[in-house]
Amino acid sequence: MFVSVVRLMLVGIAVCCAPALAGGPAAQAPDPGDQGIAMEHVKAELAFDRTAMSPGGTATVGIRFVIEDGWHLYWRNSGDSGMPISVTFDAPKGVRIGALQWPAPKRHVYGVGSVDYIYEHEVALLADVEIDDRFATGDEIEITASFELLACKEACVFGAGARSSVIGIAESGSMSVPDWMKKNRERIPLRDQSSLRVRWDGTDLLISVYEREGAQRLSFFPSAPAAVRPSKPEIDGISETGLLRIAYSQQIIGAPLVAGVVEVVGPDGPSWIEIETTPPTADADEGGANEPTPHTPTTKQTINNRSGD
Amino acid sequence: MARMNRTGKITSIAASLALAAGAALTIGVTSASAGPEHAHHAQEQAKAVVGHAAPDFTLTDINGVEFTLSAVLAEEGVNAVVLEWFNPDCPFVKKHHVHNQTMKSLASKFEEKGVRWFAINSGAEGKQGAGIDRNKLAATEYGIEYPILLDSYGEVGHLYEARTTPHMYVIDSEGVLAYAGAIDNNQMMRTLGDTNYVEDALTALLAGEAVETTTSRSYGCGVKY
Repeated sequence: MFVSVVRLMLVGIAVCCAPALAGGPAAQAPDPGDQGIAMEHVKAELAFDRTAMSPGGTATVGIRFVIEDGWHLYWRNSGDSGMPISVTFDAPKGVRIGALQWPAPKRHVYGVGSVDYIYEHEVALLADVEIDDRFATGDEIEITASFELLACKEACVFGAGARSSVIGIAESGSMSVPDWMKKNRERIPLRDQSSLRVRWDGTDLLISVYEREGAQRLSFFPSAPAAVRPSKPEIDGISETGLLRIAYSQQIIGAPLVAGVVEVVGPDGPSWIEIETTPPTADADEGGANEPTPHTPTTKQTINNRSGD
Repeated sequence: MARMNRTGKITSIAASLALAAGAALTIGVTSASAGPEHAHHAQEQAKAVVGHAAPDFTLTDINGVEFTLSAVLAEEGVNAVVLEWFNPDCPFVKKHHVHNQTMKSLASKFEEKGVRWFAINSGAEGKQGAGIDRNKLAATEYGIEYPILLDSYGEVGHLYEARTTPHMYVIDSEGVLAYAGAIDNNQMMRTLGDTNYVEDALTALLAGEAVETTTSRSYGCGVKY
């Protein structure tokens, strides 16, 4: 009853095939509604993490992009070039879709010291779904994800499209998490930065791990402010010493927030942590640009919203 | 009198450009065989920094006409120069040349006010959108009436640290780099920004006012060096 007939016509193939594709290893064929050359190199699908939602319940929806070898897509901060993947969800009233959850990207250094933050081979962007009590057993909900992306290899090409998936409402549903969703969920950064020491030394952002034993490599993927790039991310955005010192220009002074993701590679493999920190103010800078204290700005934990989403 | 005024302007600009150029006042890309030697000179020259003299350069356009920045600035009636890094096959360039007329409209709007606009293609030979033939075709396809300069060794691109196509630079009448960054404030492909930084910078310069936003983060395709 909640499914739009018009939208069903537009995305018919995607809707009919979604259940069969949800757990399969292969991406679906290009949708007839896809636009742009990029969709010759990127296949998309949309799926839920369960077979049905209970009334008033929650689920996770994910849009997966399978990327042809040699090509890449872009993180929420594309870096020095490119364009972030853009996803807009369309759902009936009574359905609340949370912020996009972005798996950690990979650094791509090239050209005149440029750094992009990219995905190769595959990425899935996830979002939490909540429904209110207007939905009852037997209803169905259709969610459509419209996307735009830039795929690059040696050259860049634009693509756009939409994928839909339908989930039923039932008293009991069972989890049916596609392997690709599990894999991408593991790369979603944690929102607790308590394991990291984040501070400022003048206009240098310092990041280290409290438990440094075993921390082999740190990388920083900045996401905010979008208008100010670190001065030399191609050099200082990665460290083997357990301490990242990321230089910013004077432009960072007074910016409301610096945010990003820290990748920590230790003996147990990589982990990813969202950080937010308030950069120095002009007063603090004048007071002692090279002294971490007493002008060290406070850091705060990301709670609900990811900067850049 | 016209000659005297022009001479005075040349002196002023030369002084500014000398600050940026150091010992090597200009670099030239006048022949395909000049690459490695000129690349060396380019490394000696100071990089482009907003608020400082814009590095001078000489490049040849797709019709074989040679342009030197300092000479252009010294021309009578020239109040500013805009440099637009260009790759006709980059989707972001198409955004502003095909799907929207951003560049053409701005260049046209400010032409009569003494603003000279140049596209610069720093794509290496064989890379996407590079080469004289492709850019001649693009000039016709896109209706570009301003010069498209070829920088196939990327010397000028590196000098200006151009990262993307487009990447925009506005140089004032004294040869000082007044703005560097994006054309506008919307990176997404299907939407134009509500602030056009280049238009704002030119408007301020022509009014004799300070440019409010002097740098922004450019967006687009990586330059195909």
